[in-house]
Amino acid sequence: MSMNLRHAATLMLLTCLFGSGCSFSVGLSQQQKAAVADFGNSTAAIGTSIPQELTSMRDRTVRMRIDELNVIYPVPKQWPDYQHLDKDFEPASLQQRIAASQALAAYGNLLEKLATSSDASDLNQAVSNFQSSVNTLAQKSLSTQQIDAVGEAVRVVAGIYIERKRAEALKTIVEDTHDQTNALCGLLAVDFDPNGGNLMSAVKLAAMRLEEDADNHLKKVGNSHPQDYGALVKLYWEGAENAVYVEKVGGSMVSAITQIQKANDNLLKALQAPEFAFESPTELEADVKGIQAWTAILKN
Amino acid sequence: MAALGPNLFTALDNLQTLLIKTPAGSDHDTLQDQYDKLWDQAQDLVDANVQAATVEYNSAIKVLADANKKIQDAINGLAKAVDVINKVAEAITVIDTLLTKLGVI
Repeated sequence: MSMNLRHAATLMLLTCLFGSGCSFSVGLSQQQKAAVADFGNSTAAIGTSIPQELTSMRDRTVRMRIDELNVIYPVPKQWPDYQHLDKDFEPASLQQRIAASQALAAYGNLLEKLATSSDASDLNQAVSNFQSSVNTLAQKSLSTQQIDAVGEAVRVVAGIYIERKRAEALKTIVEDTHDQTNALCGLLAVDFDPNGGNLMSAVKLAAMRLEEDADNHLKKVGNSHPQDYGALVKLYWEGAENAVYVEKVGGSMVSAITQIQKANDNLLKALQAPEFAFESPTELEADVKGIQAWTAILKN
Repeated sequence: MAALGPNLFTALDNLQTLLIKTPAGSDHDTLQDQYDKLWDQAQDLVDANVQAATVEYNSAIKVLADANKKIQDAINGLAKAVDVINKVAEAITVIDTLLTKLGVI
């Protein structure tokens, strides 16, 4: 066969593979693997940052509420009393958000394991973590049947090492959970939006109150330096420092959560796309290697 | 809280900037009272975690957007304190109606 004919034959084979909707398949394409990794990375990041920031938000707010009580008289009308200084950050309320972030992280980890591992105990551990974290959510967005179906899909891959099953399992799971994942992220994003009317807004309101009350009192005393002058100035700056925290951390948390939604959309798109769609010669090369490996298995 | 939150918090942000710029006096005191009232309303909304979208809710968004424009003008020296006071008073009334209707206050 001449070189031109060989090229033509290769081209025909590739056209047939890509154009036929890929009835011939060896599993996940490079794009799909990258989409899974991107999703896994973004959920892993918030799995640790959300619990940390929630604790920080509660501690900052309680501290500001105590400091306001120390300096400002009369106490603002809506200020919580000494037994409810953690108002808006009660343990049950925080636990709900922590459970949601852990469920997202466990889900991302499960998908990554499903895309990369064939070790049965590894996969079973990932699915068990995911199922138990979803079960701790106060408002479960997945039904028991859906959770069981995820476990079953993963176990198929763990039991039978077939690349094709891997792609099918991922697609099934992501299609089932895509909307709920985005809805959960939407709720978390509002929690961290300084203007969202939820948790970060409570920190913001406390910070604003400190700044405003201290400024108001300082304006009244003018150039005189009463005994509480230093305390008022300290309160003013504490409010200002927390206001910066609110905008900075709130903004970065919202952006991290929005990133998960984007990664989730991209993942769904990638899994629904033909498995051999490619955007670069490197991806094509990797996929061709996959075909060669599969052909070798079939020949044997 | 959908679009009400951003409008209400922007109004508080803007009003605080204006208050810090405004010297002590009767305008400052009136603006301070209005700021306190808006702050209380925002805290009520945070505590209640309001997600409603009623006619009153939409009216509150509109009147807050108008108030924000007026406060911003005043910060830039293009509006008088009295204009801001009138607009913010209107916003406070509409939000009060909303909170009452929602059973928050």
